[in-house]
Amino acid sequence: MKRLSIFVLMLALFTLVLAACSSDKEETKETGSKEESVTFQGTNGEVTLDKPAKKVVVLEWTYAENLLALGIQPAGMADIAGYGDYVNIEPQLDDTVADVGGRQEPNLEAIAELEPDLIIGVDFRHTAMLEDLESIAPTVIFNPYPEDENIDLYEEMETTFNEMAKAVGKEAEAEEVLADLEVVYEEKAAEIEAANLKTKDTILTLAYTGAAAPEIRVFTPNSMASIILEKVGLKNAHQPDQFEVFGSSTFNVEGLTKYENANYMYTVPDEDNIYENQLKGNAVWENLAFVKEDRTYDLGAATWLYGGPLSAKTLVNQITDVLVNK
Amino acid sequence: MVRKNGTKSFAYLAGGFFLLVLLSLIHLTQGQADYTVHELFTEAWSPGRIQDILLSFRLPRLVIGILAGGALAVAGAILQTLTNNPLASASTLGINAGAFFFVVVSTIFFPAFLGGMPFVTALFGAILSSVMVIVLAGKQMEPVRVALTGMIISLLFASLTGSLQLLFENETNGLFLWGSGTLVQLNWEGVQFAAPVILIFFVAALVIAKSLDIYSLGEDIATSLGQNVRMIKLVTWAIAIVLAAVTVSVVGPIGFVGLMAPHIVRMLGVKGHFWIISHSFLWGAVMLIGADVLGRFIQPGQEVPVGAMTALIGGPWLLYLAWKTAKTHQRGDRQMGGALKPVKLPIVLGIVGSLIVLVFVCALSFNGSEWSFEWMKPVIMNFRVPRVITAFIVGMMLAITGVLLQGVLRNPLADASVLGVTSMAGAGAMLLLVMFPAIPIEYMPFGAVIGASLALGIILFTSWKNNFQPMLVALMGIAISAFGSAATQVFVVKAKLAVAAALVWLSGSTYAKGWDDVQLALILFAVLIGPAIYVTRSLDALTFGDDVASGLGLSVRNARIGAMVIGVAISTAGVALVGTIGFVGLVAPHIARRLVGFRHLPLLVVSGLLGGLLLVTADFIGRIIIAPKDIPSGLVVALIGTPYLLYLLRKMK
Repeated sequence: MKRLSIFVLMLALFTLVLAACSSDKEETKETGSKEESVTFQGTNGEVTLDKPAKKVVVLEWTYAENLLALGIQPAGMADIAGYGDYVNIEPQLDDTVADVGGRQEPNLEAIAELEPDLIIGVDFRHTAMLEDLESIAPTVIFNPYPEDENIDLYEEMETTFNEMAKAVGKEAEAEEVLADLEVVYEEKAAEIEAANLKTKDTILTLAYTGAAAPEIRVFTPNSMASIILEKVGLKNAHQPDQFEVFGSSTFNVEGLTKYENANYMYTVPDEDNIYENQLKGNAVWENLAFVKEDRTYDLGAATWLYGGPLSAKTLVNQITDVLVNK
Repeated sequence: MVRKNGTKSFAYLAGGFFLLVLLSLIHLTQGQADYTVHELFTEAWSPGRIQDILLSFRLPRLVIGILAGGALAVAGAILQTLTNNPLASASTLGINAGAFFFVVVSTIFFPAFLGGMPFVTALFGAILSSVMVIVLAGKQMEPVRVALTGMIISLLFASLTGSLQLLFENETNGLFLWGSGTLVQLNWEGVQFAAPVILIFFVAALVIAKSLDIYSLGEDIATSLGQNVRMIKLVTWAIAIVLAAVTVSVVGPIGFVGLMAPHIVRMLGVKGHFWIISHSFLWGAVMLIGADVLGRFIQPGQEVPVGAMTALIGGPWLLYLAWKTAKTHQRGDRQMGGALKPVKLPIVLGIVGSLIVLVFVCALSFNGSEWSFEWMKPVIMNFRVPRVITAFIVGMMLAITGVLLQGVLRNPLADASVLGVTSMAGAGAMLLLVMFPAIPIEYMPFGAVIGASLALGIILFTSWKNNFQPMLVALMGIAISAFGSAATQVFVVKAKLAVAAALVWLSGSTYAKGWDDVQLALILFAVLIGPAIYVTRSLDALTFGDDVASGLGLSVRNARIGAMVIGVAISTAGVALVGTIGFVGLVAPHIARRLVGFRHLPLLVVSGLLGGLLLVTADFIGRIIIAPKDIPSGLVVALIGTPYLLYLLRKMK
């Protein structure tokens, strides 16, 4: 018995010694750079770098897209394969971009080996591991879904894009990208105006198979996609009863009857096409005014309704295309 | 007497039917298109929009609700007779969880397959989990053992489902609502498919009612009365399994209805299986429709999963039921097993020690693609080393919890997850996340501590009078655990996108543990290990039975409280550090018991070391197998631990 207690004690001691051996080495930063220091703002407060970041690790798709829009290839990125499946826009990622694991639990060792200047994460995943990330490199966290009802998601997208541009010293490029986007909106608004649509009321949806019935996400006016609709002169008919932090309400087909006089714009995955499979022949669906009057517009399976300026541009082109060319 | 029973039964049947009609009418007025009752009533009769909506959405939803509620209740009623266990139902026996796991698998890997009803896959899952319960629960169908086995199987499938949802985040988007059960329908397809099956098997259940009456007298009596008991059992299982699989494939896994409805029926004084089954169908339908009405009443225009509503109503009921059951049942002490000729301790320690060294070396040197022995390199020193050490310490904690709780409950299947502590800790943490979405995830452990304390509090409060009879504690634990996991499901649905974070935490992860965590883990371990070693003495005395233990001058109650509080404290510390990792506390003590016998101090030490070894190995595998991606170590443990556990359950006959 006694020997055992001693053994347990020794075990505890051994682990303690191991812990004591750990060294908290401070990272020494290079000073005396020629380039100016940059300061930018994330949800984790102000972040200052001695010089604009060159090697950036992004842990969420949207921010990788933002970097590409600024003409920078990330040094490392989480879940590259998934990005390829869901966000498919130019410019593409280089083959040199290192995969640093999943978005939820990125591989800290892999990130550290890249020795990045900056890590960019997203609030709902990476705030929990902020300290670990900061021990590798300065980290900035953004929140694409602010709790504050007064911030719309398009505004959030622009702000985040500009802050990221500051971090990598590409503010001029960012301005250009956003200004370019505004020009596109104006052009497209004119095209849509010229197309003389029967109605400008529109709802935008994303559908997928739920349990026995499809679930349809209807975008709310505070969502980025909806604001893009408004920018080209369309009007989102959907007014939710409550604030939707993620920018969409979940409907079933019955709920769509409220908006049957609007145009119905949708994206649906090819392998799970509820309109072809489940809704065909459904009495309520077939009798909805927009179905009867052929005012449904398929944006295509590849259209991504979230993301940054590049996704926005793809979306606005797609919207105009389907409306004008129908 | 029989006649009087009949009239009473008929009166209840009429009453229930009236209630069902009333609820159905309310149910039909609810929906996302806001029509007034007047509009509905006047325009339902002529062709048009309202008629279409009623016919293609609302009526099918109502009908499927009635059918599903009835099917679940009938399945519950006959399972309760079959296993002689008032806590049996398709959800508590793990049948629903098994069916749903296979539905998720088919959604991810064969999406085209899902165009119709995933009934085949659901049925396969349901059969698999039932067979597991039957095989593992042993011949006598001892109630606690059946319930524990069902629960372990539920836990297994739930953790597998969780891991799939985590790895295929975008593909499983649409499954969250389904995962907690929803009645929403698009057309009559669901009903067309489910109605014949459910009705046929409902009638089949009525046909065998007489045999079930005889069967419930006991197998021996039934056999001597000329019954083919094996046949009856087989048929009854088949009916229950099909009913459960049909409901899961159409409306998702819905708990508590199958448990509550038969009990209400029995409480009403209905006797004889023919009537019990008929009444159960009716009351199951009433409950499920009632829950759906309530859910849509609380949040109009939104889909609140109906399974969440039944859980809300059913959870407290289950607690009450467990309490009642335990009071009427005799205590069920069982042999803990354990090697009679233990291997010499130094040999065991030597072997386990060298294994630990080996795994440590591997874990520290390999990152999934290359070997490197420069352990002092900052990358490895700052991330890998503390992670491995934390995993080891937490593994030890979990295993020690298992030893203590198994000692107290005298049941080799006891564990923090079986006591409901783990699931309530998870629910507590999720509740915190849902109520204060802005709260940083670091604070989730506070919610966990509150949840775990609540679970322990309930157990202490309800079992105090009974001197903590192992039976009662185990049943309370099962009830609490079922409630906790149902609540967690609800919160996961509510939290929407943040779900990935929650899932990682719930499945338990040794990811991103730094030196701070090592420090914290060491402090907690150092504080708690002393009392744990201290209580091993009274646990040794308890193995001889309560009478002998009191004869030896031990206060049985105090000894149980002491060991239980310490056990729960250690497991809460573990949960606070890495989230809810199960199975270590079940598997490690078993292996240890077979090596060093049942004396608690050596058992504690060897289990601890084995637990540490297991978790470090799991962490290592999870880290390298799809590197650079991580699989949460809790899931790897479940995958490694389950086969062993199943083998063990089988041997424990």
